[in-house]
Amino acid sequence: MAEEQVGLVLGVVEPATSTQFRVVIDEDNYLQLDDLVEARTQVPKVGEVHLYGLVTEVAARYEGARFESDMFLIAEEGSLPAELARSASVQTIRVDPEIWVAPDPGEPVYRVRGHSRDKALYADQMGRRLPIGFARDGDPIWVDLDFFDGRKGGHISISGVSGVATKTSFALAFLRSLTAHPDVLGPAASNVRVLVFNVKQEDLLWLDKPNRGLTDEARLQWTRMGIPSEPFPSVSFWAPPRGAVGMVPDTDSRTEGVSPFSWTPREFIEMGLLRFLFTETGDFRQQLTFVEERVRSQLARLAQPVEGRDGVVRIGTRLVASLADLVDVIEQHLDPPEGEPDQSWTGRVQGGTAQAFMRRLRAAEHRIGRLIRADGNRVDRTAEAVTVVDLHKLHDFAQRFVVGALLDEVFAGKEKTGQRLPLQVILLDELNKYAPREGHSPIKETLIDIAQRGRSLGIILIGAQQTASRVAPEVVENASIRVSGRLDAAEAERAEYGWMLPSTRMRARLFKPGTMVVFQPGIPAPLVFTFPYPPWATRPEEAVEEDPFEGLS
Amino acid sequence: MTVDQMWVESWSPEYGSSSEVDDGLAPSEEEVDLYVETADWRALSPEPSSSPLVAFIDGVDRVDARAFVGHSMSTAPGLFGSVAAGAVVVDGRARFEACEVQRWSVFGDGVAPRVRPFSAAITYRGRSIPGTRPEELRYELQKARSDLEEDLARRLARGGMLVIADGPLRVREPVNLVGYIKSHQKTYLSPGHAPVALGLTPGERTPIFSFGRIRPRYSWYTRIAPAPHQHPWAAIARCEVSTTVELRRAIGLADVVTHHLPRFASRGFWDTRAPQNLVPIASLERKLWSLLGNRELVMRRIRSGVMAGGRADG
Repeated sequence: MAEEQVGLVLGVVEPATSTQFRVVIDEDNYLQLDDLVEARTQVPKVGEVHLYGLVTEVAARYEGARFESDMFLIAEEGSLPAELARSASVQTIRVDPEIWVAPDPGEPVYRVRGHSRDKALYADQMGRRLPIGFARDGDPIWVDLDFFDGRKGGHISISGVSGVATKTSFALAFLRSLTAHPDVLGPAASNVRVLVFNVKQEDLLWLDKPNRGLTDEARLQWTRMGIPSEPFPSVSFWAPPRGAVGMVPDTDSRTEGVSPFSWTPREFIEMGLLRFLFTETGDFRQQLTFVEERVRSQLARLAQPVEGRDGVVRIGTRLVASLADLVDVIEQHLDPPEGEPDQSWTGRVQGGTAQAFMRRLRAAEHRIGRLIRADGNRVDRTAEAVTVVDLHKLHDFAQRFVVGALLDEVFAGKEKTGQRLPLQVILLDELNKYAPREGHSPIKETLIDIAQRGRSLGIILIGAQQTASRVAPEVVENASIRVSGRLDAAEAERAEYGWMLPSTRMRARLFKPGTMVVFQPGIPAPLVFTFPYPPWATRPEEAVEEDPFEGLS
Repeated sequence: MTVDQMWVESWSPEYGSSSEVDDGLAPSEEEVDLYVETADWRALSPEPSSSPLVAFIDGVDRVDARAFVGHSMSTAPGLFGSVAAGAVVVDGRARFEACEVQRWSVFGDGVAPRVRPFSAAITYRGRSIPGTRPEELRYELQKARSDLEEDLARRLARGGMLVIADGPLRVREPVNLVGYIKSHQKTYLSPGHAPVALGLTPGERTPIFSFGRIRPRYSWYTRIAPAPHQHPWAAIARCEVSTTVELRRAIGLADVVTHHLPRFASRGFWDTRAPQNLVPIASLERKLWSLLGNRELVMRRIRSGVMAGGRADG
């Protein structure tokens, strides 16, 4: 491939240095932000050294003019001659061989291509490279899966303003690439399971349907990434049941193929799901969690299976077939209409605390009662490669309950087997709600556990949030791969985005939907990329329905 | 003594004055024919015309180092000097064109030592003069510069451009070449005619007059900018055209130049010789100086080159 010279290393006013230098751009060429370039320089005793860099800023000025008003003389009057000088600032991202010298001013600078591009992006050193999108030059950008699936690192943290940051879209594109490249993923590829929580509208309930808006251009891009431009081949959809009776999923746009999920009272007690009704950060301070622990262990101790009724338990004389039944049983001990509270249940807390506990339970009964029922039907996370659990119609409180319960189930299951494989990937948006920076909650603890130990247990978290600064630092810091879409200007200045270059921070507020920046341990610079339009539908209008009469005549 | 009027010279003091006078300009000793164009001496205001393709030309010279050569029991003085000339072509936008640097060694006493190139970029060609006085050496370097300027002026004018050269005109050829003189040492006008020049407004000119026995020229005065509270001759320039150009064509040139020059006048904050130092010429001069290279570095090259054996050997 012919080399494309774009300019010369500058060293006139400011010196070129090993970590950054400027390039004066050839008259008939251009450089833009994020372009990757290579400069070569002859070093005595060493030979040729290649410096690969990333364009962080481009500038243009007229030389020969001294006053700003000279612009009129140059451009309007046409009386003052001036030389247009266009330059680019380059941040060195790799030196090969590793001799950290400044490039000689005047040396030609090339746009990277092919082999030199691989070098610039450290692609030659990536263990398992997975395409995630395209750089400005139209060629793929990769992440090293060694830093995703736990070998050298794990987890992805995605930040960005809602609506334009396309956090979930990117996460899904990534997952699509992951599931379409078992060759890259290697042994971990078999039986990878992905758990996706749908928190906004019914966007993710169409992952298995082709998108009628898919353009040929996008199709070609998916093909170039080695991914069939088709919807997810293996997805199951789950939604809460509508009402306390019947098994109709509570969804609007789609009911076909969506299974209602719930837990039986027996599962609720055995799995200790009571914890996830006390997930507000204030609960710990108010000693509600203390009472909860007592109550949980009492329930586990006293609950007896009921012959012939699988999900139902007996506690004392009482049959418990719903959350309401359970709340009644608890009230008998905590706040009986007659007599004193049972201290083995309350743990001697003050009466007010026990009453606050009961108020919470009554509220919970109203909000999640339909999720706890004798005919309970738990989410089957293993049936299909991707499991979408729809939460968007649930109250905040109920959302936390479901997320807490499912995360705990995943973590407990993995802890029991102790096996890293098969991999379990979890995609969770609004992480700031589940693992906030301040306070305690059982979900936060589970998420921190996953962030810290999930790597070795084969639980990989793809967490998304509007603002990483509001998420527990343990969760964000343990993500090896960081991705960000458009950021609020003030947010971009925070330490959580220290991996960005100053120029990236400046520009993060201007990112268009579909444009993101990725940072991974193997490449010491953030890379801006775009990913193609999804081949799966994200709204009912986009979904191409199969013709039920197809094949009949 | 009462003072009726005082003004501050608009040029920076190191350039002297734009008009070296005490009371009025000294009359020229040349024979001047004032009535070449018209007998009716008053300000003329040319019709507007479209912008011509115009080239401004200028040159610079600099002594890089002084030197001596020893020969037959005595020494001859010399110098190493650099000259540069170039053009600013205005064609909607202004651009530099044909900027060229030459480096000369000039030795006196008829000595012409061969000097080896000091480096690929710094090569001095030799000139020799019979005299030995420093100003004679200097003059030879200036001559090299004006040769370069004149060659360029001729080349561009022959190519069909309207060429405006900084300084008096030496080329005698019927081409569109105008000399632009920004300072006045003497007047070519009689006391009776001078007020016409002093009363010009920007874009006006005097009628054409002629003078010069050796190099006869047509000439006119023009005002290039308003100059309130300044010396009466401030902002007035004189232009000249060779008489080898037909009078009618000279009048046409005078009209075009007079109409368009004010556009190129510099302003006080912009140039130390405003307004006469035209914007294209001022910027060309800066460009040419930068092309000569850093003088200290050039001098260092010369020194080390001479010491390394680049000295005279014949």
